[in-house]
Amino acid sequence: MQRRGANLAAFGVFVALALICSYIEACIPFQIGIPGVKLGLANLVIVVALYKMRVPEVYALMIVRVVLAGFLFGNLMSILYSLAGGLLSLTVMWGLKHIRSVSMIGISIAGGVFHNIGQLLMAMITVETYGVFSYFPVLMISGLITGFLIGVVSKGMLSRLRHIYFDSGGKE
Amino acid sequence: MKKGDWIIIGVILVVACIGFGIFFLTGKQEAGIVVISRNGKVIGEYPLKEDRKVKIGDGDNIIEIQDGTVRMKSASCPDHLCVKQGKISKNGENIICLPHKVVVTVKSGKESGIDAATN
Repeated sequence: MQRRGANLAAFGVFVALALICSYIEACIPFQIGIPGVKLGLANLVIVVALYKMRVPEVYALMIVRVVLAGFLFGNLMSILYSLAGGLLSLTVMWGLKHIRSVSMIGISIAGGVFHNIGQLLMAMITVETYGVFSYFPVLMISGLITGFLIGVVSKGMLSRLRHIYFDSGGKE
Repeated sequence: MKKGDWIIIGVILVVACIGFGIFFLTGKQEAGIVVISRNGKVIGEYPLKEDRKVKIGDGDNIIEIQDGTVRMKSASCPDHLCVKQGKISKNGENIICLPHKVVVTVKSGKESGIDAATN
């Protein structure tokens, strides 16, 4: 029972952290002139959570973050896009986590790229045009770079969180 | 960085390069018409040569065609990403305003087989 409470508190901390990351990103837009290119700070929290929490909890964390951040800083459409990107990226990252030769950096890179792909697919569905596909290579490269940066930071963050365990089945 | 990481990076780079290559090869011919659509439906086609302004909805978006280029002059959406995109003129390029579901695409006027082959 005590364990359950601790988990709930940890979940809350992670949600708060992810929201702060979304907030910082909304405050300081990481704009380099290409629309849709973002740093994806919140992905940092998701990547770390992937190593520290159970998978259903990470999915819950992702959905809660996207919906809250959407209501606070975005709109309904941005929720839809973020959700598509987030869920696809999380699923890919979870899958890659099972492969032993892939480290956190690789996982984060794939997460960044597939976040963009998910949003692009959602854009293709809602705007009903395949023209958005011309962004595809640009967004892949940007996802690669931001994913790499996030991966490096996640690695540092995780090594500092080594002694903290949530009831995760948190085998690393 | 482990081996798997490099494989992931490699695959992404290769796919992105193929993507760039496709757009580079197909997007070179001079464009002729501007196609504007909203909610997936085409609402207007205009020649790129003639200067004009196109107003969409209640002035939600104002598209300007000038000197053979198109740009989103103004938009009522919060982020203005479409406005920041600037001018487009090449075949296949587009400006997209996601909040209003407005897409502006530049297409080549003539689509003969010879054009495609010589490119």
